[in-house]
Amino acid sequence: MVRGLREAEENRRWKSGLASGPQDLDSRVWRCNILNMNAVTGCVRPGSSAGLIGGLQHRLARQFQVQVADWLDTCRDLADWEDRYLVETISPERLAEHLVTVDKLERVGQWLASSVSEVGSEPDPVEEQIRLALQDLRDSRAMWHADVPLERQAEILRDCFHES
Amino acid sequence: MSPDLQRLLEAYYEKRTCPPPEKAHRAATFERLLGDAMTRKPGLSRDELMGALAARYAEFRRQRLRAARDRLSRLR
Repeated sequence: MVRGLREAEENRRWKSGLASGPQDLDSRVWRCNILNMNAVTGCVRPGSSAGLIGGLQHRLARQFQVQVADWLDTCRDLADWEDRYLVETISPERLAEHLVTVDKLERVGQWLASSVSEVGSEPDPVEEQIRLALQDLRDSRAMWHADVPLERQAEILRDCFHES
Repeated sequence: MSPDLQRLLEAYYEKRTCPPPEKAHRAATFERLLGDAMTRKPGLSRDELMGALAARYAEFRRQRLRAARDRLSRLR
């Protein structure tokens, strides 16, 4: 009983943003999701339970797609960030920042990928978009952070593209 | 820069920055060009190839950015 009350209080504090839970990116994304869910469930009108659940699933799927779209936009923005901080001028600090950003985006992407089936989104374009963007992140990490010796790079460029 | 390499780098940039409806098509183009390149050097991994492209990709993007800036300054 006491434990139940404590858990209920923890939940209330967590959902209202008062809890001092872990503040890593995944946790924040998860909490954002929960808060959004609360925002819409407050508007639900009483009706058949099937209708309630169907409506909830529909809204969750719609909100999930918005979150995926936001993440995809951020992944796309990374190419512009690279143009600005790795292509035109590069520094060890920016390179390290890039690696951290790619890692964080990948973690959020993996979380979104694992959530696709949970929120009832159709197995579909959204899942495919996430998969492709995750591959972009892996390619970006390999391009800027793979440790390929200069001699080996020259050999690859020569054999694959006849570059001297 | 060889035409094959130029096409691959172009496809890489396009697949990363295109609008979502074009993504699958752009990604497929990149995968085809990357696959072609990898068949020319058996045993080469995708990550190793991507790692070998960094300097050339930077050069490719610098050229494009310079060209875009030149176009813009001519318009002004």
